[in-house]
Amino acid sequence: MGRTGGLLLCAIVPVLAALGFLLVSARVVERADAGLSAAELEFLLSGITRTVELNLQLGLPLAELQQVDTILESAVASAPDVLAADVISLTGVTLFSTDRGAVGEPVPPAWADAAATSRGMWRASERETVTFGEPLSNDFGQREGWVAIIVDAERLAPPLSRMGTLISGAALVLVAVAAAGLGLGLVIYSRTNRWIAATGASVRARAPIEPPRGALGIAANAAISGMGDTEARVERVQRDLRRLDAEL
Amino acid sequence: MQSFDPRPPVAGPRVTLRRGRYVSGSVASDRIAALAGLLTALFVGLASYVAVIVAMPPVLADLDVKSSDVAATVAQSVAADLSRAVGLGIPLGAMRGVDDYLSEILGFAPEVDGIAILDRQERLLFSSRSGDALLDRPHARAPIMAPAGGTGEGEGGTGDGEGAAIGSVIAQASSATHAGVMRAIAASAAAVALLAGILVGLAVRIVRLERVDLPTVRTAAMLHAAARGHFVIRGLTPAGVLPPVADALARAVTPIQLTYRRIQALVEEIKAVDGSAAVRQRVGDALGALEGLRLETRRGRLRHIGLVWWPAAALTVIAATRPLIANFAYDRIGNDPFAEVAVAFAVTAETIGAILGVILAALLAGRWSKPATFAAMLMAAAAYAAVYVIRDYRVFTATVTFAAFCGWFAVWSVLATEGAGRRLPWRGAIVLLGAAAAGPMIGGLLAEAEGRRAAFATLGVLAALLAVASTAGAPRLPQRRRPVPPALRLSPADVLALLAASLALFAWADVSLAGTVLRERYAEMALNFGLAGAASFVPVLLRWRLPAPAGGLVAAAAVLAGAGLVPAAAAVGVDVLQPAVSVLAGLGFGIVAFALGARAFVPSSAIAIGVGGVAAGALHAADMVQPGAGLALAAIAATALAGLAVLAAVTHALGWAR
Repeated sequence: MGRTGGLLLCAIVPVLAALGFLLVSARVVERADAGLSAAELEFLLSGITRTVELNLQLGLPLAELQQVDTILESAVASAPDVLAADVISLTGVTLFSTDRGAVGEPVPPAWADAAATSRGMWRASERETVTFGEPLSNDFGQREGWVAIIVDAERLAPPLSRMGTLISGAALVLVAVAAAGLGLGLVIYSRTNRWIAATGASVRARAPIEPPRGALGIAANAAISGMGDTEARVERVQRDLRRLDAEL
Repeated sequence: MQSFDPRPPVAGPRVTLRRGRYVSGSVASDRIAALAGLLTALFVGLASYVAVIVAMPPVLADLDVKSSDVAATVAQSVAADLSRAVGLGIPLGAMRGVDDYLSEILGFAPEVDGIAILDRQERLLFSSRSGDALLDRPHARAPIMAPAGGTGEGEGGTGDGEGAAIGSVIAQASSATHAGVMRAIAASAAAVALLAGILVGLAVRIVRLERVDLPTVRTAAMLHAAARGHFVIRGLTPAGVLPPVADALARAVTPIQLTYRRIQALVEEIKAVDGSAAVRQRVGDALGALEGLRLETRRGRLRHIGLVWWPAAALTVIAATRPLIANFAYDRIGNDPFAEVAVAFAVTAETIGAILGVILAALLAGRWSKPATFAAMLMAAAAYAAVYVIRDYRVFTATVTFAAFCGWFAVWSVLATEGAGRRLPWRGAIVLLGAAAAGPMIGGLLAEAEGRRAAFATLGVLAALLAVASTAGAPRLPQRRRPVPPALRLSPADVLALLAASLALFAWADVSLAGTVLRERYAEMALNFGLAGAASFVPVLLRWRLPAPAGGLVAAAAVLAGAGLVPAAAAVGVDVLQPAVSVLAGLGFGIVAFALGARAFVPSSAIAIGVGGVAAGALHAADMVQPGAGLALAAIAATALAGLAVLAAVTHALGWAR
């Protein structure tokens, strides 16, 4: 890495770091946002589950409960983010749903997998929707099925949805930090080569630097002085040999 | 380090270079690197602060609105339940078990701080906490409606018909989410600023070490040789910023070399014309003046071992997993009573994998270095990426152990090569302390940004890129295995000090903070790791050449005090002790590393550090019996080890030990 690389590094690292900070901040906020949305939905789901379980206490099988459609409709009406609400049997078939076409249909594999691997509340993500589910139990603690609510995935603060806002809000800050980094790089990397070039020029011209700067300057002056001696010796030898050659 | 002309020098002016100033310990370079790092950290910290002021308010306001929505949903739900109860004929003010019901609701909705139920005249009927406190703060409100067909008369209603409000439910949104977000953002800003400062500082130091300091020494040596009539070292001059001087010297010397060649040609001609003894004698006398000059000698070979960036980068990626391992293992079995054992198992096994990797690299030292480095790094990359899909803690432990084995083997297959550890003390500081400081911050910030699994996957991708880069950065020359020189062997005091410092630091940061105290709070983890890492550079920068046992004592005492004081201070709302302990633990480790110099950079040091990590992980199993016992035991053990290190050092100094 030379001077240009060092300069770029000094300019780029602060910008990348500032961008990284914005990214991390955006994700922190998005996760908190999604967490609050999920908490709201899970609370709603728990409410539906509790109400359906109260109906189960009457002793009727889940499929024969009369009030479930009303409970589901009421819940969906109270939460604009919820697209649909279902009650699912243990066999994975939809028993009740605010989406009438889903009744009697098997649930998507993602839901079945999520429900099978979870002991409590579960969540299944699909391309455009996220489904929250909670088991339904009777008075004896036996599982009767699940309640599920389906929401639009966009409502759960998808990753990087805040990034654009933050970057546009902090654009000037990014430019300023890049300029500061570049300035720092210029200061750090501008001085290094000047005295080296001066030392090189003095060696090339065989003119000692007075006073010498640092070990390199001292060594350069020593080399210049030594080269003068060497040159004198070599030329003297050459003269002697030429004289001898002329004699012969 | 390159090998210079092996022949003995001839007499001539000699100037001794002050190694402390011009080799890896250049004070000027230290200061420039530290200044660059500090200013970068300042720029980034300031930029982050301004970004929070300028860009965050609308985002945080949205979050507050969402919190209020949650509170409103809870209030509506409670109001609906109460309406149904009223519909069954129970007067609102005479309901029983409402307090338990509210507690149950708050259990379901931790995002709500408190709920209160008011009658129509706004009189407080029930409350989960102080009703006045709830009413005085912003809250969401939902009316309790009289049931259909009811009048609400008995509830203070006006009897003006169906659906009249007979009271209201108010719910106060918890400020925990907002506070948590602000805490994470502040920790992220500080960690990012620290990381940027460390990266720029290290990069500047690497550049100055490889391009300025070492070439300056070599060029100065070359100039001194030229002063004595030796013009042969040009071929050994490394790349860097010094070639202008070397080129100038070569140009200045060229006329002399040409004259010398003409002399040689002339000598041959004279000998060809008259080979008599007398002429030979005169020629010999004339050439006697050239004795000691070396004007035409073959150029030496520069031993290229690769810049320090590759092992530093590879170790940084490996160290990035440090904040992730303990809490990932914990979460695989959640609140199972054996969760602490799972954490201990994962940390211990992973560190053992690293130790085995170092041992294998030391045994192979250089043989098949390039293919072995590439293959091992690639396997580590695959293992890290595989964590993305792992669900079981045993599989996770096996995977990270394998990754640590491969990764550390790859790194040490480069570091164990000849010459890698001779540039003191900065080479060791850059690789060892730099990776230990920057890596965990990168890992923590990645986890905060994209989640733990995705962070492992990202690190896998980075490791794969480094595997490819190793073909350029790993040593190219076949290396031979050589015994560790006596000067680089660790004394018992050194080993004990390393063990004490690493045990204390691992127990504090990798196990206690990452696995228990700051679980899931990755930005704060990153900050604590970063503070420890930045503090470890202080002795190097300030030239605190204290004895190694002193560093062990500092780290152990800090963690011992932290084990007792931090939880107590946190209980009364004092949060500064935790970062203070991280700083002191890192400082102690830095003192040990600087005291050891090159010896901190040999395989046995890496193994000693690893053993400290193994002990820290294993002792954490004691948390299963009593929470916090693992850290306390580790701190006590580290203090004992540091005491033994002091004893060993004193014994050695007094000449009692042989």
